[in-house]
Amino acid sequence: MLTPMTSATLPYASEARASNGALLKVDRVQIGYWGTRGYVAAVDDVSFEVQGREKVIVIGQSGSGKSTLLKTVGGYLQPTSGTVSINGTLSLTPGPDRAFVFQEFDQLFPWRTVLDNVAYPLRRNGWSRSDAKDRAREFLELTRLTHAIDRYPHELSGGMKQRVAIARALALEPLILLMDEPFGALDALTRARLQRELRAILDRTHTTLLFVTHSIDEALILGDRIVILRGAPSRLDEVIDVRGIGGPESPEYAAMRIRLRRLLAVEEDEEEDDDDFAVFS
Amino acid sequence: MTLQSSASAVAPAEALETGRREIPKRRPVKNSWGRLPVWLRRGLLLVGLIGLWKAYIEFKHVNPLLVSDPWVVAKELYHGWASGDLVDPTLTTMKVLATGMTIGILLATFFVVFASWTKVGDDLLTLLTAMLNPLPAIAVLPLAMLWFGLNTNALLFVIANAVTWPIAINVAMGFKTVNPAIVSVGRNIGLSRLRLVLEVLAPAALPYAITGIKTAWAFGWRTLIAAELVFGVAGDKGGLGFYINDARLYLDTPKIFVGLVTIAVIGIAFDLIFTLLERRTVIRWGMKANV
Repeated sequence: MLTPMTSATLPYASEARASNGALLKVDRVQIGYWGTRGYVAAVDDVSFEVQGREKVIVIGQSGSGKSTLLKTVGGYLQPTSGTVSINGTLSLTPGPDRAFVFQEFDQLFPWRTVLDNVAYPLRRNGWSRSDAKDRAREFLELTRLTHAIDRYPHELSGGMKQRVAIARALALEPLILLMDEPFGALDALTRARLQRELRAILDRTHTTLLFVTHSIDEALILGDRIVILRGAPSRLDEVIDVRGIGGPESPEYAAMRIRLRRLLAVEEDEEEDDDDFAVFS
Repeated sequence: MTLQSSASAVAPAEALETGRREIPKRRPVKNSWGRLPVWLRRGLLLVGLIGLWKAYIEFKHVNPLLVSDPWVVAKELYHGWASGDLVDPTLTTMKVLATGMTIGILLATFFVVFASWTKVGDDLLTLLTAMLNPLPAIAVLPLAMLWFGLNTNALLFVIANAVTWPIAINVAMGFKTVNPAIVSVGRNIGLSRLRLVLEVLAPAALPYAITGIKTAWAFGWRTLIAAELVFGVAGDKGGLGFYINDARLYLDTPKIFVGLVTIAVIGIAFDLIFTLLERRTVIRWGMKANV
């Protein structure tokens, strides 16, 4: 039911494939904020690239500045030094080419139905009313929400709300999809199901993904590569390719899981400093 | 009721055998009064109260100059509306109120926009509302009469003062407490500044705006009637307050009651309109609890 749409209606994805350079370039970025004790760097000297169609996970302890980094890629924050560019253009303001899915359940417009929540951003980006609705239906079918199309957000469960937010973001045909722990507030069963669904949808739509989480399993299930942030201010610790390690039953998966756990382990006294950055996570 | 309770008395033994609880065929109802529709319950209460009123008149033989017979009031009310004696004062009052509300809403919008743009505006609004909102609006009537004389402008000044501040306070609060996540989404989907205000902030602040206008209308309505009582005729026509005071002058007690009933009914009607508006919007959208 989904196959015809993917290659035909996703020009951005094919553009990304055509150009050989990296889609997202994060170049020696430092991001900080002014706190009570003056300027504090949350993220320092971080550089990495994301190729088109690649799924990259940023992982780190809570307070490691990973959300700060994602907000900078989204254009909500500006780095103190260094650059963030998408297809060679600096990310200076938020925009629909970097569609964002937040952790909060209340990221939907409560006065719009599920269908309108997905169709409205399309209308504001040049789609006609009927085309926007058709496309919204298509993406709500992709996220298995056809039955809830006429409901208002407060009538949905947390998992359904996040699926609407994902449909809304994907329908915008973003160059890159940015997700900030979208499943963080869900129960374990729903989270596991949505992770599998998201993986399947992204594979079908060839969407490029930058995803922030503190869950090792989530990173391994969704990611092609994992970027590890550590320290205060956090620096890029390592980038690990996890393609082809297989599912949670495979020995490679288990080995990688152990390796990541070791990498992410933080000494007790370091953890206290982390609280300074809690405001970002 | 009895059938149901005897059925449920059997259930435990059955439940032990089958492991299932019997589900009653009908939704259990607490009592027969609660089963009646709301309008009927309230209507019956109203009829009961009017009955008490009538009984008081009949059995205590009260001086009709002090308390009117409800039947006489009803007849007077009918005549008042049929002959137009009541229509004019009602329209006069409503017109002044509508004009005053419009001025108040415009002023409140101006203040709130100014307050959301600049810090100075925010401080100014906070200071003004802190000073003027607790002041009973009717208290500025003497000043208004000095400034404007005995005319509609003095009434409008008082009404505008009564309605501007509750609206401004509430809408400003609504703007301040908008959930930051949907503002972030609004920016993410590429909305312009104007669209962000009109299509995200404004609907998000709607529960507060409705509360503000509801409070403002109630303030304005009370203030206007009170001002009319003091004031007498505004321009060439008198409003409902004048109607009541005029009736007192001629010891026409039923007319006083008629005026009071009219004021109460209009109050109820407006409350109903606001309730319906809320049910169709903010309650339907889950932005406000249904109480």
